[in-house]
Amino acid sequence: MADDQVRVKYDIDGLLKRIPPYQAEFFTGFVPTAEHLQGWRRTVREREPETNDRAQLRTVWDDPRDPASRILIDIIACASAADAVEMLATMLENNQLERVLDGPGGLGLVSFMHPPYAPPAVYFVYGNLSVLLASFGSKPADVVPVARQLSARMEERPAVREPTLSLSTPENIVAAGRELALDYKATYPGGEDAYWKFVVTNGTVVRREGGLRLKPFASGEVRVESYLIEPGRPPQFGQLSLRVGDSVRP
Amino acid sequence: MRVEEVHFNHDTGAASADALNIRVNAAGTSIVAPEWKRGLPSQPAAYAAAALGAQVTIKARFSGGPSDGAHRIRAIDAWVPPATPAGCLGWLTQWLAQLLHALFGNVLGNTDARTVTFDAAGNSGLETFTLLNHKLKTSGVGIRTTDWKWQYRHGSHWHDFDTTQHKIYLVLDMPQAPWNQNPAGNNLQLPWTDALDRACSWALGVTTKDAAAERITVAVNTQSNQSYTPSTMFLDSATGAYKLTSYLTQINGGAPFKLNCTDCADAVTTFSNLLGCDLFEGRFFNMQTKPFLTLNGNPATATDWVTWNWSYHEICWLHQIGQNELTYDGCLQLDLSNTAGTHVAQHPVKMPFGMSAPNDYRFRLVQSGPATLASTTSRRLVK
Repeated sequence: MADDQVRVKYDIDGLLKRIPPYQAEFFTGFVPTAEHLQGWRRTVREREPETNDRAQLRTVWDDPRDPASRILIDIIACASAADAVEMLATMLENNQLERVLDGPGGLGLVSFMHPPYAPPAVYFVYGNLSVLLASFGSKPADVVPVARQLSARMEERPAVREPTLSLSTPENIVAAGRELALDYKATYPGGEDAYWKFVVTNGTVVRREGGLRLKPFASGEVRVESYLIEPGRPPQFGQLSLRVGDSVRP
Repeated sequence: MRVEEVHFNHDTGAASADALNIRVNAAGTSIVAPEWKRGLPSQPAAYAAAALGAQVTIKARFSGGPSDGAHRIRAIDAWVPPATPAGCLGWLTQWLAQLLHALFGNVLGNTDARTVTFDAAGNSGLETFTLLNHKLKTSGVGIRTTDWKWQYRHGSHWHDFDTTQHKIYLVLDMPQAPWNQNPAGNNLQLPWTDALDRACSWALGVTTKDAAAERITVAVNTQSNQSYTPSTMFLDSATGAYKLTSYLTQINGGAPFKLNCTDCADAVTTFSNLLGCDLFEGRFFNMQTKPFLTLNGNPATATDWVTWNWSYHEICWLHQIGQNELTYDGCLQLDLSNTAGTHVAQHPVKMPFGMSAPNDYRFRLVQSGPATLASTTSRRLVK
């Protein structure tokens, strides 16, 4: 956890309060692909061994027209949106600048960026993802448009409504504030650039001990939509609706 | 008769008479003896000079020997100076060949001669040989190749029967943290040969730890494909580990990349300590700097002399952090000029942190601000 000075400087506790408890977007295995970064060529792809509560991916993108222009993208998929904010705080703590500026609007829950006199870099949190885009080559690369492209792809919900994904819970009791296991399965496994996106209404999703847990927020209906997205393949879709307070199984 | 195996790291519990426990990189597993095995690619070995005792030994196994018999066996340096033309050119060629051999050639010397016994099938057990006239304690840091000619004695003559080739890393002392020598499990902190390739090249030939740390500091600072950014690029924010694999990918790849002071401090500490130095990473906080030469900057280029407002700066400390302690900084070069309008670039190497004396690191770097020293240091684990 970042030290107190950094937490105060960037109002980390205030950012944590901005995370809504009644809706969530959650990713596993998110990978920036050439579809996300039009005009850039991926030259480095470093995936850290996944742990129970996080997965890290580093990619570096080169401009094919200018070898001096490169962009590094680090994506850390955390166990929850709150963990993603804490990860952002740690990343800011390891930035030498006296202060990293507020980032452009509309970029996830919160964003920060380097001032104009420093090599371009932007940090943002989207769902459970903590993201850094940095100009990595000898020539400054404008990372904000790329961050916006990436954020737009994170936001996207593919227009597919024919359920092909299995989404279920083995648990019987669904109650507000009570976590339950969320199982998900695709009809075919995705390739190395495939990722899952979960959209939750009236609840959130967190990762614990390698599995996903659904946490309904209030009585009523909790709804989960899931997508398996992979370049070059039609997206897969699944959904699950549960009455909060009802029994899942007869 | 043939050599079947040669073992350099035959005792994983010590490095006083044999080689260190090492691995190639974060992937895969550790390199285990026999490092040379017939029919397989040869694996390297590494020695820590100061840790070696009076005797250094290797082990070897043979086949095709006399059934239920014995042979005197030894290995000698297979290198022979090239045939040279007469005159000045010949002398120069000879000198160059000797120089290259001294820098990159046999550091293991020869082995003593042993009587090796063979079973009915002509196979020997694992026999121990002592290295004679080795230069492991005196050659200094390097990567060297030993070509051994294996011989057996028949009558009063030695007869060649096989050759083997061995890549040998030589460091000054036992690698210090984050590196260790624990042979158990998949220990990522065993010295990596991928890192030794860099560290031993950067500090080639040095025989003292001060010189090694200096060479590493300068090398980290002057990599031609790098430049500075305030964001830390090679620190795993989740675990606090140093992403050495990722850094090596960039410096080996040749394409331009960026890094900051934390990354440079990690590189200097990690590579220096691999050679046996005793550095730590440590921060100081809140300062406006005087003009300094940016990472990989050109002293003659005015725009490469820069100032920053920093929330922290991270450097390397010899033994421990403190106002009176000694520092290394691979991220910048200080301006040692005392004349306005001129610059004298100086790599910060074993400089006292100090306060306001002209040769203090702090005096040369900090224009204003408290520059408060952290109370702790680190040696980040590598991954």
